[in-house]
Amino acid sequence: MKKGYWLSLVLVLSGCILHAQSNTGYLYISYRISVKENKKATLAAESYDGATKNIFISGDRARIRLVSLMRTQSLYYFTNDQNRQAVIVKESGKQKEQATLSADGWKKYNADFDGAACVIMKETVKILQYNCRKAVIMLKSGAQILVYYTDEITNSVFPAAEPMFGCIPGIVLKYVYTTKSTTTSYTAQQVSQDKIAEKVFELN
Amino acid sequence: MQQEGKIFERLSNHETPPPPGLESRIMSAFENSRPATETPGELPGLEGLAEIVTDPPSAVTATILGNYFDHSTKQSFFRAHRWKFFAAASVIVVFILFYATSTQRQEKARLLAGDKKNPVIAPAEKTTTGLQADPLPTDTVVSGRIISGPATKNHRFSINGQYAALQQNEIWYSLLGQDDQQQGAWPSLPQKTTILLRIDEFTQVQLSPAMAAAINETRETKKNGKPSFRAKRTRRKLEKLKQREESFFRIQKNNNPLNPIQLSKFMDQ
Repeated sequence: MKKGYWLSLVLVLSGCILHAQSNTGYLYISYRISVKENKKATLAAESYDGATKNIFISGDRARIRLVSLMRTQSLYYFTNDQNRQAVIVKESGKQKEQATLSADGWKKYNADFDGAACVIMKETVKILQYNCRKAVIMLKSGAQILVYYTDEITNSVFPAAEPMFGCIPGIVLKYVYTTKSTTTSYTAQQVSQDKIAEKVFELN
Repeated sequence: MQQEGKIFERLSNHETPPPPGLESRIMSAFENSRPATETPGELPGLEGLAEIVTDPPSAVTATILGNYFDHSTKQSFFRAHRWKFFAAASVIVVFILFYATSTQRQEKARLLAGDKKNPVIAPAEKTTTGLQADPLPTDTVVSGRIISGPATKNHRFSINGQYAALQQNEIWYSLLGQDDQQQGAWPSLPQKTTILLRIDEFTQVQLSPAMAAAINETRETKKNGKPSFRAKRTRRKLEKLKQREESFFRIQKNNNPLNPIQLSKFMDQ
């Protein structure tokens, strides 16, 4: 009885230490976008092959930034602002664009992922140094997104800023979407929980 | 005197055997003289010694008893709390293992960041178009660094380590948007290797060989220095693609390039 009590205490304490260290309120993930053409190579696909998607999260704010050959675009997400849930800024090119989305606008903007269901698989892989579990997101349209997520990092803003992963119980480090013509994969190249400067979240 | 000494020496070496039967007579007489209870090989009088009782000195007794009780207490305390000791030791071991792992992780992340570092702050002097040999500044890996990546606008990017001006904050325009005269200053992009374009500390874009070949085609010239037919054709094709991309992902249309489904729609068109 005593043995069991002390062993449980050890496990609980160890778990607390590990869990506390994995959530600093900051999260930075850099994904590399890779496009493989299943049929004929097109310049449109080539122009996005090798692009980068960065996610910055600090407290209740997030910034998702896409940099490709033809476009640099950021999405600023604010958890606690119903009137200004998100701001989209096209940073590149002659014509800079900016649009503000209310909570309703944000919902419409992500309508593709409404009612999505997740199927968690048994298969696991290691991405960077994190153990990841495979899952499939089943969209209402019938499309499927294959994801690999880790529960070793936690962040409550991540699924809110990325509604596509709303039903995934962790942080997604790789996801793949396949059509008849192309397979687009997003793979984490770097994950960090270091402090992120305030100016990263300032609207340009 | 010397003769006397020799006599004694001879006498000392002299040996005469006893008369026959004397030895056996002596031994039988000795055997008959021992009591019947005594066993052979046992010395007489030991039984009497076993009955003698002597108390040890009181100081010695106290020391021995004290030692016995102290030792007993220590052993029982350890036995009673051995699971606590085990638990404490396990927590310490887990903490040390976790600390070592997290330190390694941070070090790896820092090394990765250090390896990919690129100056975020634009150079003081005005950058010019075309590729320029400009060595990367030495990286300084600071512990507990703060991510400050894309907030500061960058006015240049690097192609496989060489800097070029980032015009209109767009790689596409920087590579293709120049007029004919400016284009002459650009060397051909390598096509066999992957081309890495670094935008800032956290952003690098890979240029595929097919895209590098298309960009190189737009720089082909005739003998008179004017763009070749193939260069013009490829440029038109790329400009058309750019217009289509701008139109498809216009913010007002609610099409999101961060959405893989909508991005695939654009690429599959």
